[in-house]
Amino acid sequence: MVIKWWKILGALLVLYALIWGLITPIPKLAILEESIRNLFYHVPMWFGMVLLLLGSMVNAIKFLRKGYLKDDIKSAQLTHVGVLFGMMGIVTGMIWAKNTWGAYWTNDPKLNSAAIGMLIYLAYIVLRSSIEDEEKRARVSAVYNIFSFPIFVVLIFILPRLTASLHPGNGGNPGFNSYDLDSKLRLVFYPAVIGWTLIGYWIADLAIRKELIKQKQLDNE
Amino acid sequence: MNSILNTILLQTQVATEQVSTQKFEVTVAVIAVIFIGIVGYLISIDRKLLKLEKK
Repeated sequence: MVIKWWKILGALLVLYALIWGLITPIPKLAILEESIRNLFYHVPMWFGMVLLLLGSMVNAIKFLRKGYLKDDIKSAQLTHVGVLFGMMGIVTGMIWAKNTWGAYWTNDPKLNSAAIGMLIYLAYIVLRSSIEDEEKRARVSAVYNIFSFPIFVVLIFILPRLTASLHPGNGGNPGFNSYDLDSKLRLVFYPAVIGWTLIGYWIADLAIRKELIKQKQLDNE
Repeated sequence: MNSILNTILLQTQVATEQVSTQKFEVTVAVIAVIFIGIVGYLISIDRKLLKLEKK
């Protein structure tokens, strides 16, 4: 009857990153100025999302190998939270873009790829809701999921690197590590990524357990 | 190890000085309270689920 330790750890890490991200000294940067602090809030959404979606794919593979519906439920709920994180990433990115690039949306390969990637996963949710039969839904969505993840990774991490892009870390632009000469930013950034990922797993965990209880009730009826 | 600790301590001092002159800490406290509230809610849902799972 105790809360799992990693949930508390996640909460503490995020709390640390929320607070320290605001007060830590930052390098002087043109245009970005204080908004470089978004690094501690906007970027962990994407990193967290990718890790959640990875977890989702792992559970999809597990389902196809063993056939337990439990793994399908896990996979689906992890995707839901991943998509939520992705939406947060897009909206926060748009605010940041407006204030550094001058527009909420630019036809940047990184942005468009991210949007396509989100649509792939929204389609996953629609696909799931369109199949009545549990077994069939689980199998079809697991296969879709396993195909989506590699495509998604290519879309958001590889393709934008091959062309011109405004986004840091793409199109020959340096990533944040070039600003972070004394690792002060890393000291907040990495805990933020780990913390938000754990919080994401926690939220997914709650949804998974709710679904499992629902499933059991249906079986008993 | 010692030098790392020293730098962290020094940074903390500099940071707190900067922060307290601009009432930054007020906003920091507000954000902390909101996040703690949300985590508290997550914990309460988790507890309820633990009870349900025991049944």
